[in-house]
Amino acid sequence: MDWGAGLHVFLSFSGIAALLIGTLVGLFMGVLPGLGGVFALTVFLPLTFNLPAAPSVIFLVALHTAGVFGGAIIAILINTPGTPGNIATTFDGYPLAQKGRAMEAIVATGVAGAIAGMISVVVVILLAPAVASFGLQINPADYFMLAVLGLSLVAAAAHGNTLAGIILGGIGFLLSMVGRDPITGASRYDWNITFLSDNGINFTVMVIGLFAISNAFIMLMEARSPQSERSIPSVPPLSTGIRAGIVEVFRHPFSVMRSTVLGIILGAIPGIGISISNMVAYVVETRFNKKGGFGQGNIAGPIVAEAADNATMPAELIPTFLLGIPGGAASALLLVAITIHGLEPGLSFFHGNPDSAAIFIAMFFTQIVMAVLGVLLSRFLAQAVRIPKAVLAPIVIVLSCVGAYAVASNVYDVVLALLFGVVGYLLIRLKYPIAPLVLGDILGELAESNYRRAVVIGQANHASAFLHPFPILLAVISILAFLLPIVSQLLNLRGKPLAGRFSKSQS
Amino acid sequence: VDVEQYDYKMTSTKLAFDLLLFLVVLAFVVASYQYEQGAGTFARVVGYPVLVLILPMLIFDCIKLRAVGRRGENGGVRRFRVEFPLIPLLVAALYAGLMVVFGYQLTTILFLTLVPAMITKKWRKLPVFLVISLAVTYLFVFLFRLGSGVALPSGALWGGW
Repeated sequence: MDWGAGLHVFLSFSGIAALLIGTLVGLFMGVLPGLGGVFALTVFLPLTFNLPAAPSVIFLVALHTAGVFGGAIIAILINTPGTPGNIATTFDGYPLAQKGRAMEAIVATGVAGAIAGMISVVVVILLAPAVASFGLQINPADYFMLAVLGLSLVAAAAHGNTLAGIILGGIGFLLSMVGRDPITGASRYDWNITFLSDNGINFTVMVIGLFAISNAFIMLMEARSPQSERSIPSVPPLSTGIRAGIVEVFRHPFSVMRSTVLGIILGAIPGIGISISNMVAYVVETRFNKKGGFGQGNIAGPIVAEAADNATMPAELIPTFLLGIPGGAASALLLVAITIHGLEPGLSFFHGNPDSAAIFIAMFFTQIVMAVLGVLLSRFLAQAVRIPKAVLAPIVIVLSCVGAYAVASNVYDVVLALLFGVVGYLLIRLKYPIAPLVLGDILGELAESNYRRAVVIGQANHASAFLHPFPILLAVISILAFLLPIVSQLLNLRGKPLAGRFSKSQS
Repeated sequence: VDVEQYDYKMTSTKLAFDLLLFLVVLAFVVASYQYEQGAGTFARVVGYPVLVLILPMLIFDCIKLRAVGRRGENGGVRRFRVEFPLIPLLVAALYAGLMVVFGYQLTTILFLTLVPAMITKKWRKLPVFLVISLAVTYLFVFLFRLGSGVALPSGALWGGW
């Protein structure tokens, strides 16, 4: 990788500006509960289409990373996680805030997160060539099964709803077929709608609807309730916790390292993401930490949760940037961002491309900028929770629709995004996972084209195309990943009265 | 709040939604037969297993609906009611309709002024919402031109400023 040229691109005005603006916007979006990293990426991705590659991706990476830290700040201050990755942060972060140690907890999570994030970026850079070389050796049948495995893991990660996850993933596969055939170019599954036959269902438009507009609809419904407005949390001055926060991180070196390693390993597995890694890191810490007092304000809790989050985010990019197989919604959006700007996933991403080097350098420095700005601005950011949902939700809808329009300058994309917004609203209300539908859509084309190539290579014989050790191994893992959560769910149900099961599942 | 009625309504909604998913997948599978071998096969490879997986979900939904319906004081099966996403659909239709007629700028100003007032029923705050809407509209115009570079949509009746 050409680090010298990459550093030059990163240190340009546009590179630094993208990093700073992305971090500020991300922190602001992160503190608004219900919005956060993926939402911010969804809304701002289309607005970067006209910008050069490196500043665009740097902006988006900073936006996502800072969004999660913004979520941690609000998790500590008002006991409401800004993103799903901040749930474990509330367990001890809020009790610390109640004891007047909010700033200490914010500083500690910022510093621990930055250290873990930087280590994770270095590990990704070191591992990249080996993974990319592996990517060159796999054939279409392997690629198809990898796409299926990725989808299975994402569906399996849908807590208690694996079956719905796999069904929605399959529907995502089907929706990806609407429009032009990737091999012959003929239009299909368009039901004689000209817009669909020409454009298909654009992934970005779909994600804008499912993640951004649906959340805006949820906010609108909540805004009708008289108790929807929040009071401003009190944030102690910076001087009260900055030194103590830093000292606490260095008092827990093994905790930080343990959660960093866990975060990297879990991040590299598709479907896991920050929503699981922060919980796993917290649970592991409660086993190893002998001091105890978890849930009552043990500062190791938020430290490990945020360290795991920040280690997971760069690691998620290993399968995304190297194999073209995203592990979650955020990495899928970053994959779209790099391909729109002409950067191809795979080995070429790491060779002789200053933009790729600049992106990794920015990823490293984002961790520091995020921690510094987040800590300095936390008192100001806390005011953002005052914005009424009735005002915020229409703004989100408008910004999302502008983003959908920017994809192809087509008003039909706006209508499609609004329709997906209604679908997303229903999915959220019914507690169905949205990520498998999105992943299915983005993996669909990869899966279909490789499936068809494998069948052609196997001379239309499915057995000779797919009956090889590696695809069989991947198929077995996919089936196990899908079946194990269902079996464990069924085992948990045993012994519970019928009515009790139903009331619990719908509560 | 009648928790049991809510439970029943959400279970009915889930059943209706799962049925909709089944029909969507079925439509893809049926449509796949009109395309040549390559373009249609993959939809069937994915579609049939998904249809098979939706069936147990539908059966489970029906059993659950029956169980939830029989629970409660009266013990009788309740009316089948689904939670129709009326407000999201109305808001979506309002925005799309305004956009087609008035284009981006006027639509955004109208939408950001009227929707908060309608939702909160605080009509006296209309001037505040108007100021916010003007600021947000032109901030978005600036961001859009900076980042995307294409022209914003103009409406059938209004070309924009």
